[in-house]
Amino acid sequence: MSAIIVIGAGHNGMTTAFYLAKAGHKVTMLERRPVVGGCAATEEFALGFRAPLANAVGPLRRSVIRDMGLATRVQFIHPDPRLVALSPDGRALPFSADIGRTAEAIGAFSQNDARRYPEFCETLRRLGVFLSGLFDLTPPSIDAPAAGEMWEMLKVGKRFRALGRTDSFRLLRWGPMAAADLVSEWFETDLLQAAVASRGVFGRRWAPGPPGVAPCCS
Amino acid sequence: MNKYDVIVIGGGHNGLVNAAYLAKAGRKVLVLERRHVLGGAAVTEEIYPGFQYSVASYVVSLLRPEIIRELDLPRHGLEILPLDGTFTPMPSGDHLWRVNDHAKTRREIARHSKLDAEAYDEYGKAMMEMGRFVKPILTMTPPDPTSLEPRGLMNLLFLGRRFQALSDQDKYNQVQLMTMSAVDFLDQWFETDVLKATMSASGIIGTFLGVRSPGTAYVLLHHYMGEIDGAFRSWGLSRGGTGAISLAIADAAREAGAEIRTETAVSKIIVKDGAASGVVLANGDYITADVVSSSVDPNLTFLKMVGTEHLPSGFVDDVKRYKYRGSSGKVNLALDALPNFTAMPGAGPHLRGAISISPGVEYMERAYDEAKYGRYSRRPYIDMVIPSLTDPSVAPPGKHVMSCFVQYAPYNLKEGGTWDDHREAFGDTVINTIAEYAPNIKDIILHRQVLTPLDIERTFGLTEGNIFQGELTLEQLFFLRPAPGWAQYRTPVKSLYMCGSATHPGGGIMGAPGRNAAQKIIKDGRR
Repeated sequence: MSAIIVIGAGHNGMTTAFYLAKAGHKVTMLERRPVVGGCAATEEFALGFRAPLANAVGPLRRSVIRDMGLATRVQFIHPDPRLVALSPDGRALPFSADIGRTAEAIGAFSQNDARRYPEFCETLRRLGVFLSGLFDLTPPSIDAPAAGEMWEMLKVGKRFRALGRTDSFRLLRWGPMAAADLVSEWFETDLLQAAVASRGVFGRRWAPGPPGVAPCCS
Repeated sequence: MNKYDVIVIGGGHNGLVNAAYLAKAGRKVLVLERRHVLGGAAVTEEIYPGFQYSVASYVVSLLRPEIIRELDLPRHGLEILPLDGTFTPMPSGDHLWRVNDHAKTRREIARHSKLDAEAYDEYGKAMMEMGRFVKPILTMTPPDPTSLEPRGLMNLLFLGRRFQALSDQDKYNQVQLMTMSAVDFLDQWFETDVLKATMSASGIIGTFLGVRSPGTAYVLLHHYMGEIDGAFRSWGLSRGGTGAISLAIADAAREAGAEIRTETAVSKIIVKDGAASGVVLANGDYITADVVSSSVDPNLTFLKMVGTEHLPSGFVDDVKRYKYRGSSGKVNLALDALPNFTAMPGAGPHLRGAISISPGVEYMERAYDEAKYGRYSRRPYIDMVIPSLTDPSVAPPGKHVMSCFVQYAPYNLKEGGTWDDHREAFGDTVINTIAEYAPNIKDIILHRQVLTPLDIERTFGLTEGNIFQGELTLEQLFFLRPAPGWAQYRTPVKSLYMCGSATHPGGGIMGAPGRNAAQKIIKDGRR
C-alpha cells in the first residue's frame, strides 16, 4: 500500500483514483475548482439552468461502468433521435438509434444512401469492436516492449487477422484517411456526408478535409 | 510473327525500365507508346524552336542507383548534372539560400536563427536515418498483411527487425513521419518561417493536401530519398533535358532486344478465360503476347482497356476509389535573358539551383485554401529551375529555358468554364507571382507553354493530371497501392501486370515500379 496523490479530479483522475483506492492504496485527489468533474462537470450556468459546460457524454467504457457500479448511481438517458442534421433548405435528417428508421429518413434524400447506411453502420460496428479492444490496452513502449506488451500485441494481431481480408484492408485504408473522403466513398447526399464526417472531427482541430480523422467516425 | 512474350503498354520511364529488364532476361518484348515521343512525363520536346523543354518532370533525384548500374545507363547517354541549392526570395527583400555546401548553408540559416542552424544538422542526420530505414522498402514487393504467405511474412518480419534496430529517437521520428503534417513535423525542429515553408513544400507535391494536412510529412521523406551518386538529398538535371533519361533507358532496352513502337495507341487489352492474351491497337490491329504489362494508370488499364466485365466487382470499386486529384500545373518559358531577383540581384549562382516561391507557411496554406474550393491559387507555390545555366545545350547561346512547377491547380475547377477557358489566366497568375520577386520576368519571355492538369491528362494520359499516377497518401501506399490486396504488381486478370507509378513505391523518376514488376513477371514465368 502506498500513499498516492492524483492531480485533477476530472473523470480520468477520478477513474484512476477509484481503481487505486480499490486496490488498497491511500489516495488523495486535488482539484483546483470548487466542483469535481473537470470537463465532465454539470453546472448551473444561469439561474435554474444546468448543463455540462464542456463535454458531451462520450463513449464511457463499459468496463468502467461495470467496475464502478455506475448503472445504479447514474441514470443514463439515450435521446432518440440522437442527432438531427439540419439543412439550410429547411429539411432535417434525424439519426435515431434504430438503424432501419434512420435509413428510412435518409431515403427521403437518396435511395442509394438509404440502402448503404445499414451496411456502413454494420461495418463500423465490426471495426469498432476491434478498435475498442485497443482502448483497454496501455500502448506498448515502441523502443523496448516488455514481454507482456508483446503478448498483448500478438493478441491484437490475431484479432486483426480474424477480421477477415475485406475488413482488415478497410481498417488499414481508413485509418489514415480523411473523414470527408471516407464518407464520400459511401454516400452521395451532402448533408449525410457532413453529419457522419462531423463525428470524425469532434474536438479535433482539423476540418473534415485532411486525412487522419476517419477513425473517429466510429 | 506478331507474337511476343511481353507487351508493355506505355513508353514512359517505368514502361521502358520494365521492358529493359524483361528483354535482358531473354523475353521477346514490345513496347507500345501512344505519342510520337518516348518518355511519358519524363520527356524533352522542342516546343519553341531552339529551346528544349523538359515539358513535365524537370528534375531527377529518385532514379534508383541500381537501375543506373544494371542497365549501364551512362553508356547509353545518361549524364546527370548536379543542381545545387534552393533559393527562396522573400517579399521583405531578404532571402533564404540553401546549398550543398554544408558550412555555407549553416551560416545562411544562422543569419535567420542560430537555433535553427544547429537543428538543421540534427534534422539532416535524422532524415538520413529515416531514409536508410525506408530505402530497402522501395525495392521490395509489398507483402499482403492479411495473408499468411511465407514470403510476405518474412518481409513483414524483416521490416519489424529493421524498425527495432533504429535508435529510440529514430523510431519516434519514423512514427511521426508516417502520420504528421509536414509543418507540424518541421515545427518540432525549426522556428524560421521561410525555412519551414520551403522545406514543407516537398510534402505537398503531387497531392491534394496542404502543408498542415496530416500525412504530408511522409511525402517529405519520399522526396528526401533522392539519391545521385550515393548522396542523399541531391537533386540533378539530365543533360539534354529530362527526356534524355527515358531515351537512355530506351536505348538500353533496344540493345537488350526490346522492340519499341511510337504513335501506337492501345485501345483494348484482350482478355480470354480470365487471362490477358494481347492488345488491340487504336487502328484495329491485334498483337498477341503471353504477358501484358501496363505502365499506364489503373483508370486507363482497368476501366478503359480491360473493361469492368472482366474484373471482380470489389476490385472495380477499389479502382474507382483510387484517388488522383491532380493539383499541379506547369509553365515552361523560353527566356531572352535571366530573371533578376530583387532579393539577390544579378546572375549569380543562386539561379543555378531550384528557386522556390514559398515565402511563408501561411502563404503555402492559403494557396491550398483556394484549391479546396476549386480555384487555382492566386498566389501559388512555384518551384523554378533554369536548366540552361547548367546544361547550355537546351537553349540557344545567351538564351534560357525556365521550368516552373505550380501548385495548386485543382483538376476539378469550380471557377465557371473548363481549364481550356482558364489556361492563359492561370499562366498570367504564375507570371505575375514571379514578377513580384523578379520584376523583369515579363520583359524577357520569348515563349510560354502553360500546362493545366487537364493538359497533363490529355498529353500524358495521367488521369486527372496527377503527376504520380495517383496521390502519394498513406491509404494509397505500400500494400494498398493501387488497390488493397493487389500491391504485388499482379492483377485479377491472369498474365496482366502493372509496372507504373500507380504501384509501389510510387511516382517520381524512380524506375523502381518498372524494375520490381519485371522481377515479378520473370519469377512468375519460371513456375
